[in-house]
Order: sequence, then structure tokens, then C-alpha cells
Amino acid sequence: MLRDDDQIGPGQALAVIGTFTLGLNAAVLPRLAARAGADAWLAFLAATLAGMAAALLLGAVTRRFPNQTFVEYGSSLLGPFLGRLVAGLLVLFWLLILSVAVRQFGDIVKLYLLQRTPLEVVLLSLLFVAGYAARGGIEPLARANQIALPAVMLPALATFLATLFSADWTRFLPVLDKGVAPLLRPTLDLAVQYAGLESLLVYGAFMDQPRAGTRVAFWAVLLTFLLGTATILGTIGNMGATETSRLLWPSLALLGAVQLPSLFLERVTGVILALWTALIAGATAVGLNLIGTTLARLSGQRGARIYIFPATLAVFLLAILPINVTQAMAWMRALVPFTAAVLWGLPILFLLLAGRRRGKSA
Amino acid sequence: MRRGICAALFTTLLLAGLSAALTGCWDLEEISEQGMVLGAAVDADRQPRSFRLTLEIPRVSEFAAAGGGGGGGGGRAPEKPAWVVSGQGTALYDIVRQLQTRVNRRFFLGHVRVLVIGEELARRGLLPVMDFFERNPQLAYRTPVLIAAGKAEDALKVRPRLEKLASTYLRTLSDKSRVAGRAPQVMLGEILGPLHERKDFLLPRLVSSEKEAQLSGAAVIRGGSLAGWLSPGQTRGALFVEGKMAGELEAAIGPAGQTAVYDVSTVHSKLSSTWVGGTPLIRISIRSEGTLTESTATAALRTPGSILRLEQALARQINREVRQAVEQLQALGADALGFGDLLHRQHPAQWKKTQTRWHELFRSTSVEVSSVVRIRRIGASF
Repeated sequence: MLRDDDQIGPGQALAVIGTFTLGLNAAVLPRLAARAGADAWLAFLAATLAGMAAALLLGAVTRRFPNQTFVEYGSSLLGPFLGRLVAGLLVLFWLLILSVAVRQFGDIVKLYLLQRTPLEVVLLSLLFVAGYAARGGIEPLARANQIALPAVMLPALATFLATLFSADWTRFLPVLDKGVAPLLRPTLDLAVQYAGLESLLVYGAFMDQPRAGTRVAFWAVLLTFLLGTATILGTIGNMGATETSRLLWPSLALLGAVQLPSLFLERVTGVILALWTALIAGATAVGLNLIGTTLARLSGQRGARIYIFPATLAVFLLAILPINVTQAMAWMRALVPFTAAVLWGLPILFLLLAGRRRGKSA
Repeated sequence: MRRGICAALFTTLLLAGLSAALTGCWDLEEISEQGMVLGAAVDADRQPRSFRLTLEIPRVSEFAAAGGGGGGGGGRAPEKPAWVVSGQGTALYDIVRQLQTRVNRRFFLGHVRVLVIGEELARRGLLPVMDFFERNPQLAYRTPVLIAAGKAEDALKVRPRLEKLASTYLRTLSDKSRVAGRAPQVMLGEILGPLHERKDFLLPRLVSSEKEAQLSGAAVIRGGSLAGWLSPGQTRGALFVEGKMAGELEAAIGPAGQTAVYDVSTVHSKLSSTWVGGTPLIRISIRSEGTLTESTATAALRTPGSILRLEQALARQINREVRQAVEQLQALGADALGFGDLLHRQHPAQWKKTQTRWHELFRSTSVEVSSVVRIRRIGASF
């Protein structure tokens, strides 16, 4: 019999955190990487190392405070006021990144599939499903994503790896032609795409093996790294860095540009869009549950349920706010420092304060 | 009890709402009401910055009747299988919308088989018309682009003898150019990057008359516009350098001028570069394997030595065609074989010093070619 005690195993935690991270970043990686020109792969590699550092830090925090969310240990480390403020800011952060991701989804669906359907309808239909799933709590969500994530990941990875057969590898030469300096900004932009890992600050409390936190976050990084590498090498190898950086959704354009080896399907774009819809729906459900759970802990409620609907509404309103896709992307850029603070700053702060307290008590 | 009724009502409404959403009703489009565009041709118009767009829209009913009909018929005069419609304007989307005032079906560009660009427009520059194709995700990046010698519009007006539609005819012709080896096959997605980077490249050259079209040779695109042409032989040389050559090669053998024909199965080309004094030297080495398909010489090829002599004659022919291609490209000042990129990759430091005057330097770059041909099969007779 399936347990329903709000406890998730390491595999389930990976399904939740991996879906959330991938759902937020999968569509934008090649375009951001292409800004680094031929060295896109180097920028992504450096960004992944930074992502792994974040995974290590977040894992360490989870180990240090088993069965607690950052709302509890944040308040005890920073004091009730600051702790609550940090939790409130994080809720705001998740609302914003989720609304940007949902908006991107809406723009892609409108561009490729439903030109005449109002954006609001596209967004609401996604948010309705995701909100409904989020109400069930972490366990059913984890179980659903345990099925959905591999079902999305494997065909997507296979498709993008297949595009590498026609890649022109000379497009990645010469290496470091203009030095390291032009790589810094793309590396930072890519590193913050590991946003989503910080959900471990909440979901660590639900893990039946808190010590596995680092491993889970590491695997989540690896999943993004695999799909990111396949799409970055595929797009730049086939279309060149200049063209990739000009396109809004290079991974989708790539599927129309290359002839996949031994594939009888004429239009793979539709298949990948369907997979991506499943991924983004899963990620949105996780995000809404994350926001609901944090708010519940903040207000001392037991369940996250009552917060899901307001959170869904807030994400919807934020998502339709940008006038067009360039403004949505400006939001994304504005969130970069915020994300960096959440991914690296916050766990370091928690670890330092925890270390000092342990020193004092000793 | 009341709660149960409410829940049941809610569920029913929900299911009804969801099933309504499943139809995607805003975007409902009956396939019979679509005007499928199979071919697009863009020409320069008489006004400076204005274009002429020609679309081929098949009469789908014509095909349905032909499929179901079979024998009999007669009496009814055969109608044109497609409507070829043109319009002018300063932007392609504008022309499409103008054409919509004449064509009663909503255009759908997802099935465009071929994109033809007229000579004059190509001379003016390709980049201005590319934005339409880049911004519209309907059009597949895997659509071949052809440069018409003369007007592109004429290519869509060809009444081919074996196909009903000019677009399908041109598309299959383009696919067969891999076998013929006298014109490159280049897809839309492959040229957008080079166009934005102002790099030089080749596109197939299309010549058309009333009843047929021919793909022969290549258009040389320099800095985004047409600079000149390569002959079919020169194009073959360029394809050897790019390692994309497939098709056949003929070479004169012996003093009497008999011909041997060789069918290329594989080509590997390797380019390397060095700097001699202040000028770059490009070394091209080509290895090819294939089948001997014809020899007009009367002597039978019974010894390895006789085959070897053929191989050497063919290798010399490859070298000649490659040199001719390079000379023509140098005369046009178009680095379509990517020598600049090669120098950039292999000698980044030196490249930085010389890249600003690369276009002059390219004309005087020395090129050495060496080829090895291996005849693996000789057919059914000596």
C-alpha cells in the first residue's frame, strides 16, 4: 500500500526537485549559452560546477537540519523577524520565477501551436491542472513526477543527442579565442538556471533520509547538465552560435533544421512540445506546492491546501503582466542577483550561523 | 446530501468545460479551408526596396479526383493543378496579407517544399527577405533554397511533365542534386547563420524554361548578396572540398581523349593551413572511393596497373576542378569554402592580425590540392 505520510524517498525527492529545476530552465539554456559564442560549452561547464557547489551547500543544510524546513531553522538562526522576512522573500522569488517560466510556456504554445487562442486561456489551463495536482500534497506529486520525469527526459535526451550526428564540431573552435572575460556573463546567466535546487530547503524536511539531500541535488544538477549539454551542442553544432543566440527558442528551431537519423517522423517539434508541456506542468505543480507549503509553515498551518489557489492566481497575474516576451526576459535578467543570493548566499548564511551556534554551545 | 449534489454538479460542469477546451476551438481550422502553400518564389520588384512574392497553392480537389477517378473521364478539359499567384510590396508578410484579399483560403506555410530566390533580388541582398522566414515558425528550416538564373517566379510557372506541381518537381530535383553532383543542396536553416555573420557561401543555381528546370552550378553569395556563379564543374570541385560530393566524375584518359566515368561513393576532405611569409597557404587533401561506371577506351582493365592509371587520371581531374573552383572564388573575392574560418581555427593569433584585410588576402592565398581516388568496383565487365 502506498504510504501517505508526507514522507518522500530519495528517488521521489529527485523526481520533485529535478522536475522543478528542469521545468524552469530547459527551454532557455542554448540561447543563453550561445552568447558565449564557440565557447558555449565551456560556459555551461563552469555554470554546472557552480550548480554543483549550490547542490553541496543545500545538501549540507538539509543534513544539518533534518525534518525541518528553512522556515523553522531560519527563524531559530536569524531570529523570528528576519527568518520570516527571508521566507517571505523566497515565496516572492518562487512566484516570480514560476510566472516567468509559465509565461515562456504560454508564448511558445502561442507561437507554435495555438496562434489564435488567448494567452490567458493557455496559462489558465496549465495553472488549473498544476494547481489541482499541487493541492494533493507532496507525496502524490512526487509519485506522479517519478513517472513523468523519466518519460519526458529519455525521449527528449534521445532526440537532442540524435541531432549531434549532423553537428559541425568545428563551430566550437577556436577555444577561448577572445579570452575568459566574454564568458563571465553567460556563465553567470547559465549558473542561475540551476534555480529550483533551493526547493530542497523546504522538501528536505519531507525526506525520509535527509542525509541523501546532497545526492538528490547532485542528480538534479546532472539531469539539467545532460539535457543542457545535448541541446547546447545540438543547436550550436548545427546552426552556429550567432543564429542560436538570435532565436528565441533555438532547441525547437533545431528540430526543424536537422534531419534526424533513421527517424520516420516528419515533425518532431510537436512531440518535443508535448513532452515539454508535461514537464512544465509538473514543475508548476511543484512550484505551487512549494509556495503553499512555505506559507503554511509560516502561518503555522498544517496543510498547504488553502494557499494553493491564491498562489495559482498570483502566478497567473504575474505571468500575464509582461507586455511581450522581451519584457518577460528582462524580468528574468533582473532576477539573476536574487537567484544567486538564494542558491549560494542563503545556504552559506545558514551554515555559518549554524556553525557559530554550535561553537557557542560547545 | 446537498454537498454530494454540489460536488456532482461541479464535476459535470468541469468535465464539460474540459472537453470543450480539448477542441482548441480558437484555432480550429478545417483542412479543406486552408490554402496550403507548396512553393514560394521571391523576386526583386521594379521599385528599389520592394519585392515580388509568388506562391504556388495546389488545387487539392484536383488531386482527390485524380486519385479516385481511374479510367473513363474524358470530355472535361484538364484544369491547372495549382494556382500560382503573385503580389508586390515592401515586406513579404505585407504581400501575403495582400494576396489574402485575392485568395479565399487562409495561407498555411507549414508545407512549403522549396524556396526560390530570383537573381536580381539575390544581387541586391538576401538578408532583408530572410527575416520573414526566420520569424515565422511555420516554415521548416529544412526547406531547400534555390537561386534562379533570371526570375524566380518563372520557376514556379514550369509545367513539369512527370509531376503535377512545380514545387514538388523542384523539390525532388533538389533532392536528386545529391546524385547528380552538379549543384549543392542547401537548406534554409544552413544559410541564416552565415548570412547574419556576413560569411560567404554557395547556393544551387536553377535555370528554368516553360516545361522544365535544371539545377546546374552554384550561386556564389558574398557578404549576403550574389557575386557570381560557379560552373557545374567548378561546383563539383567545391563540393569535393566540402566533402559533400556525391555523383559522378568523368576524366579524359589516354592521349586519344577517351573518357572514364567514376561514381563517387565517399569523399573525405582535409584542410590544413600554414603561413608562408605574410600569406596563408591552404592545403586541401581529398580521398575518394567509388565505382567505375563507364570507360570509352577499348582496352580492357585486366590489371591493377590499368586501374591505377585511371585512378590517377581521375585524381588529376579532381585537382583541376578544385583549382578551377578556388580560382573562380578568388576572382569573385568570395571565401565560400571557409578558408578564413580555417585560419581562424588553426592560427587564432595570426588571424587576429590579418582578419581586417582578409578579403584582399584571400585573393592571393595559395592553395595546394592533392587527391587520392580508389576505384573499389568496376561493374560487370573488365
